[in-house]
Amino acid sequence: METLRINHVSKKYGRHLILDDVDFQLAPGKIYDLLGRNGAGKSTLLNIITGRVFPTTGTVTLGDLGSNDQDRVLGEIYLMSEVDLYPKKTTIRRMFDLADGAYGDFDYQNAERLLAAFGITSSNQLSDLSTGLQTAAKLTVALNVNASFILLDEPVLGLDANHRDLFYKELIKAYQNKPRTFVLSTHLIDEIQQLVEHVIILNDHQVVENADVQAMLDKAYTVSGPAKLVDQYVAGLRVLGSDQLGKIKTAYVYDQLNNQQVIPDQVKIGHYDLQQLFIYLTNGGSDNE
Amino acid sequence: MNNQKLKLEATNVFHRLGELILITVGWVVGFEVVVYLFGFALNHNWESCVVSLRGIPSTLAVFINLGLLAYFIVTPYTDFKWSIQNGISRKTMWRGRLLALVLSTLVIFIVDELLSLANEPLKSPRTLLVNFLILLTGVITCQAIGNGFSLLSRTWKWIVGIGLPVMLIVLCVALLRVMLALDSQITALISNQQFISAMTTLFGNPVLPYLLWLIYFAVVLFLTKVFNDHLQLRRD
Repeated sequence: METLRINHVSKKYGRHLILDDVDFQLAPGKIYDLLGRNGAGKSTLLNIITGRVFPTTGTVTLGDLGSNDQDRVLGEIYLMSEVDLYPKKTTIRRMFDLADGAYGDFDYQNAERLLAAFGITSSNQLSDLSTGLQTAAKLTVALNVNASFILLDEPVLGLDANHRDLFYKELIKAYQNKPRTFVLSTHLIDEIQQLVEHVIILNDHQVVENADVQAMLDKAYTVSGPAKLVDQYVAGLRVLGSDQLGKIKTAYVYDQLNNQQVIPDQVKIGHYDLQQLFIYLTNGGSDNE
Repeated sequence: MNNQKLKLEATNVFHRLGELILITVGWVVGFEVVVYLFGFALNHNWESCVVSLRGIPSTLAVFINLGLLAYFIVTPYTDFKWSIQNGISRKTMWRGRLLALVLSTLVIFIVDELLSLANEPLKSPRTLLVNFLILLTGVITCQAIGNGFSLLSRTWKWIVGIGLPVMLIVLCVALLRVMLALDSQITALISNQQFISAMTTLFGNPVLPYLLWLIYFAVVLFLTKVFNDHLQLRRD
């Protein structure tokens, strides 16, 4: 399997800039989380990767091939999106058949099992299902299609807690059975933090972070204590934000701490989670006092 | 895998066009039979009813052709959406739909001719060929229009859909005015023996209509490809 490269992609709709020089790679066999606030351009980016819309500038390549009009590349990428692109009255069985016809080797058996777990039958028409069950049906196709890069845009839209839990388990199972690259674009960061290995964050039309989750969390420190001591300790470090309650201040640092620097007795060092980190990174990285 | 995708595209067209034709046949036959039987119930004229019923194949041929033309105007964007959802490139989509277009036009043309046998004798091979080419040209023109309209947002569809015919009418009126203004020159030209003989030689040439058709066909085919290659998901 080759690396999927997104090379300096920009997209404008009229004068409205959606993506600005977005550049990153998707390695084979890894689970990614694509994060960004509403309107950050996540769906547009996924649509560009799968050739559904053209970039204004930039390219998407798999090995030596461009993705916009080459069956070999498009045949390696599957995007489950929020929008329904099937004709009206399309049954789920027909969706399976189309995925099998286009990508080959669709796992019908596992798909039927998963559908049953979601409480759907393959004779159901997609448009007749509720939002949550439509998502479940589309996820069933995505988890069983024979593609190397599975992109999931809002994969838990409308799913209840039970079905979300089922999806997370099935995602892990699908990944273990056949390691492929999964890209999850969702706002439920807390729920997927344990699943993903790598995070790409879009903000202000650009990639502001592209790193392994653990590497990011290793740099995400909370420094709390008396305001004066905290300010002294974090001086020179990248502070994304801070909270203050009376004289006690908590600074959210996103940087490597200096091991040589002595930590004052009244100052406590801790860690914060991916969701908190995302909020601070996409709020402009300034103090939130 | 590419051939499989091509086959998927083509069979999808056959499947959906087949459904459309079946629905059309059901409605046309059902409607006509009910109307003629109702007429028979009122006037008790069985012979008149039988004559009317014999006209059904002709009506059917017209509606099947209309269905074929409409299908290729309406479906390009729908087909693009499910194709791109399933990783099928624009190039394969174009090739698959073109293959399906030619084959389905041929099948429908044969059905048309068989239906027309109910009321008229079998046509000469040349007439059959010309009729087929006319139908094929009509269908591919509809596909070019359909592909072109698929690039437009809803607003622009209205603007172009109304604007283009209006422009065409304005152009015709302007042309008519120019011809009326140049009446004396035109009269002189068509009285000119040399001009008449040149035109007779030109249009008397049996190859010319086919040449003109070929040029038109190539241009329209090219347009279907260009429009097809620019298809992308719209935001409306």
